[in-house]
Amino acid sequence: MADIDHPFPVRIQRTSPGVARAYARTQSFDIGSQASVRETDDAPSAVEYVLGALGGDLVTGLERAAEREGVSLHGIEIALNGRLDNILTHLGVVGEQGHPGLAAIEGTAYVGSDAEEDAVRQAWQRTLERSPLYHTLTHCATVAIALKVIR
Amino acid sequence: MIKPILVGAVIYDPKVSIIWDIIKSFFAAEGCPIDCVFYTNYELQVAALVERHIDVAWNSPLAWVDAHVRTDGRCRAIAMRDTDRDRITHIVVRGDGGVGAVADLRGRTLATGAIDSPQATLLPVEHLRRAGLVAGRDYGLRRHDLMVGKHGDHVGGEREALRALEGGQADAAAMLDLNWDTWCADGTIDPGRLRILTSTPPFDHCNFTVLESFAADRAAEWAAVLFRMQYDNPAHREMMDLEGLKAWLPGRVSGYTALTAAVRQSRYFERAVS
Repeated sequence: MADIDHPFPVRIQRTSPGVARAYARTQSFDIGSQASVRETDDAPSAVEYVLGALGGDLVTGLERAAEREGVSLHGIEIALNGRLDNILTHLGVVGEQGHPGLAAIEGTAYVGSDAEEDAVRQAWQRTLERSPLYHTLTHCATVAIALKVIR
Repeated sequence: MIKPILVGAVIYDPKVSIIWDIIKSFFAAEGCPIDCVFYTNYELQVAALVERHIDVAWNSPLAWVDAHVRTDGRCRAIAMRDTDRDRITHIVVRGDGGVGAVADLRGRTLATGAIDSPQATLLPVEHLRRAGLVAGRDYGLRRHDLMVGKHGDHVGGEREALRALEGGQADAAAMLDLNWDTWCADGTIDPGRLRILTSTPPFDHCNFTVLESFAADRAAEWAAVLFRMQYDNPAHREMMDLEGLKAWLPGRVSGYTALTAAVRQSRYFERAVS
């Protein structure tokens, strides 16, 4: 393991009932709940941030990987779906088994490109290899993201 | 700070927690705070009530009977929905199935819901027993034990019983009147193909149960707040529609006689323990 240790400090504060705000460098964002089953809320839930963060990691990572390999992309979109092992344990239902953590993340990455499909897939593979969140989450959940190249 | 009254509820669908969030907010606004404890099955919830881990239990009719037995009658039903009163279960047959009267079920098969469903299993079986037909002896029972522990809250058992009737694996199926109405209205059931053979007498369904030892003034205050929910108040209607009621009513126990008899006759709780 390398001796380099680069910390990523983030400060999180309760700003109003049911809302936390995270401060990361010069940015901030609000978190409205741990995991919500409501149709609407004032802010994304922590679970949604994790999924959004994974998707954002891969979108920006793929853009950089493609650029490095000279692969031209005209669009990237990732649709993800996360499932908790047992959401009822998150709700504190007495007698339920399992845990409230993410058990599976599945989705599809839609990549618009006129490049050879193999080249796009290679760039995608590089992205996964270098993704902090993909590596983190595959340790605790099944992560299956299909790649679809669209001309 | 007022100690919140702890209300227990059995849930299997996480979206049901939204209903309880709304109820909790309502009680908080009325100055009578509650907190909700969710259970995966009614047995755990009744035990929690008896052991005073919770103050009020939103009980199925079978859970009410269970609580009544476990406390030697020292519990009360303090509130219920208007839709919990006077329900009936239909025993439904195919129009062309050759079952013209209840006696024709002899030698045939009745499809029911889960083993612990009052409306879809215990009560219709008791109804037929009173008509002289005993399950296992006079007719076959094809039970659909989906989500056992939820006392038939999950409609899946009744739906499977209906499928068995339609598919010819059963000659009759038991279902709650509300489900018969809903399924006829949404096209799940073709009332031209199926008909009601017989129906149970009216019975009552869920209630909010407290122990007799729960302070009477707190129980009365809690019920009074509940009764302030009004269907014609737009702020309350969403929750009441989700819970399937137009009014909360005082609890009564007169509608559990048939279920109590069914439980006694089948030795249901003794079989559950062994």
